[in-house]
Amino acid sequence: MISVERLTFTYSGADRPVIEELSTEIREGEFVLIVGKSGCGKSTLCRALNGLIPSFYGGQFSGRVLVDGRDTRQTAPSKFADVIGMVFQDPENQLVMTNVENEMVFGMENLGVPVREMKERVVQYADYFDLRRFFHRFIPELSGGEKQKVALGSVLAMNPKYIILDEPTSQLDAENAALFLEFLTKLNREFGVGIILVEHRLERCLRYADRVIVMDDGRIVADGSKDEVVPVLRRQGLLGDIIRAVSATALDGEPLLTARNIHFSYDHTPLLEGVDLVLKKSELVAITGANGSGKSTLIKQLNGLLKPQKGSVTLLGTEVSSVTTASIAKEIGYMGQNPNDYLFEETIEKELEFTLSNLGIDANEWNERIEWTLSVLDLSGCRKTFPRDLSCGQRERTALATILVGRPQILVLDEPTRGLDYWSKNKLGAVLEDLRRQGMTILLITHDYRFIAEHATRVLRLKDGKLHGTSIDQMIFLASENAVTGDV
Amino acid sequence: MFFPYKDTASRIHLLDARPKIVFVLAAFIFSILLSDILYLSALFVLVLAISISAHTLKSTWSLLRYALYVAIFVVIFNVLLSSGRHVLFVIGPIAITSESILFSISMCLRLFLAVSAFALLTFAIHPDEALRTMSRVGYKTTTALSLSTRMYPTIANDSRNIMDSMRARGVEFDQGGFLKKVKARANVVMPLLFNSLDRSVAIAEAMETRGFGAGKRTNYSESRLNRRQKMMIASFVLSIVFGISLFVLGYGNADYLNGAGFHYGVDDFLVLAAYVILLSPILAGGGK
Repeated sequence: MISVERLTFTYSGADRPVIEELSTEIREGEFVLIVGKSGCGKSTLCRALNGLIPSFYGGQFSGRVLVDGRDTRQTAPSKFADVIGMVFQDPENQLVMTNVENEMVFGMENLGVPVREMKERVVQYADYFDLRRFFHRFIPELSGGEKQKVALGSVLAMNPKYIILDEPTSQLDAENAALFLEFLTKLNREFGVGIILVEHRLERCLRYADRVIVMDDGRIVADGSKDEVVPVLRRQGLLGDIIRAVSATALDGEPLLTARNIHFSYDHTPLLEGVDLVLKKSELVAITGANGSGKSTLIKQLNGLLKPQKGSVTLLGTEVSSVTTASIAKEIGYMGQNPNDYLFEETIEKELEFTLSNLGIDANEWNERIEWTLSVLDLSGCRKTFPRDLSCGQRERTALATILVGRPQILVLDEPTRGLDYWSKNKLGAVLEDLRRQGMTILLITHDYRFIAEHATRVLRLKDGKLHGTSIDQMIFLASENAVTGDV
Repeated sequence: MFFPYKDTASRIHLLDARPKIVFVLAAFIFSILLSDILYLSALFVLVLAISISAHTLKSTWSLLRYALYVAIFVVIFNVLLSSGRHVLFVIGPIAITSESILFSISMCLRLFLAVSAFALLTFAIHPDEALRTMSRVGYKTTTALSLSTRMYPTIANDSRNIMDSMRARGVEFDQGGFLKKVKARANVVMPLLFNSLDRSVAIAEAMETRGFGAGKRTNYSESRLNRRQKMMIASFVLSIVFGISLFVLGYGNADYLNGAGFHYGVDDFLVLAAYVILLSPILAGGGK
């Protein structure tokens, strides 16, 4: 059993605790879901359960955490590896070796598992996770879903009693996420492994949990079965009915961007095979599709980050392949998947000035533009803040601000809802809707059916190298099929 | 995606990592010890032959190309700054001497030998195998090395993504003069550094939760060396001992700046043959 007794923890340099007087117990074989807004202390609690906090982070720690009777302050986190395994959000940051077989044995070797037993477990779990076909593949070449499966398989091979998973599906498409979560349920039932899962996408995972812990501001505000906590989740703004914010009527006007017959291959593997796309003023177009279907590759063609091997893209009468991305950045803004790629200056204000200076905007306009951008994105209070000190949702909005400050006519966003909690997603949705009403055209990639159902004017699915029109109603159906409201 | 090591069914790839690592170590030592052009050439050709046998000549050449740029500098510096009595020709105030030319060639060959041996380490030894072998010496250091191999594609990817985000913010990377391009690229450094720091904390955390450093480790692929591999290792170790002893006696060491030339006796050829005989068993490689 893991027992948390009156735990209070403050990160060094912070002025208030992230967890306060928190007590709970997690028993073997439970499937526990921990939910709450960004910054409520979920990840901190997870790290306290196996001693990463305080031993890895320092800070002020009071109360105690006992794992099978052992105090986490008196034992190194690595010594808990045989009891508690951990799977993190980004598979890229948790796989250490270069091939799958070696990755699977890395943890067992560290624990000193005898070679004969290691071999037995490798066979057992590789078969169970269907990893054999990847055995000698290089890990960097695997897809996100495959990597996350390797991470889970490698942790499970260490035979832990509990596995903590910190947003493990945030980078997976709906199908892979569902498979991953079903797999967790199977592990829980067949092997009796305790699952402690932190997730934002409640519609994905609520149905699997025996017990849900709801956190707010460093404390547990509800702890019970999913039926018991749903009202609390609704009150907290973590769950809600699908409310469509836009009308999906067709919009008239000249096309701003036209892509015709786009073809693109990576290493002779065709990814885009004749994609056509037209964007008009004041549209919010969502592109969906499985992991690896070529969505990111497609949107990079639109502002010239990648050049189509066949076909053409025309932006406001200019052939995109004949100009540089930077030279059309004023017309078409692009935000990649990782907001951190946009953040390096000392303050948010300087980040925005960096963009304005590169785009050659008259310095007299800077202040007005910065004020407008920060107010649209609800960041006015953070103008002088170091961007890397911000929460996940705020970072996302800051990265968006660095693009928005150029006031492009078209905004292209690659998975902007990734890793955001329900509240931050709603906030982002409202911002995008506001921008769209002001005349901006938005194209975004997302796996989030609910976000599409609530905010998109049009939805397209990329499949087999081509874009296919899909109805918003279909998205509403898929979103509500997953939603807890219909399920619980 | 870029990844330096490619699994190939060549004889060299099939050979256990341990003899290969000892061979590379020997080649490194010789690239430092030896200065005689004939000795260095012979060993360089031997390493190239191994690259051909391992089907890694193309990749090796991609590294040698960079070494070639360095070599050009080495030649220019030596030719301009070194003195010597045997003037070959004069260009303005600069006298080109045979001493400086020979010395430059010797330096370049040392560099090529070291780089091609390094290429063998990179392209013909699986990084995980290299890690396992070297972990007996210093596990934590070698894990760090292996991690850097593993993370290379990730960091390269990060840097591409950051460049894309900069382009979307109006930064021109490919237009303007040299200085402008350098300045544009300098913008990538800070976000890359921040991202890499975030990653390193995340990886350290992940490793800790996988029991890294928890206690005595076991080794999954602990295979016993067979007779052939043992003999190879013995032969390469012997070549190092032999090389150092003969170096002390003056073999393979030519002081070109002080007028050494190509004066070889039978003993030189015998020593050279011994080098080749002791090192060439690697060409037999490993088999299934």
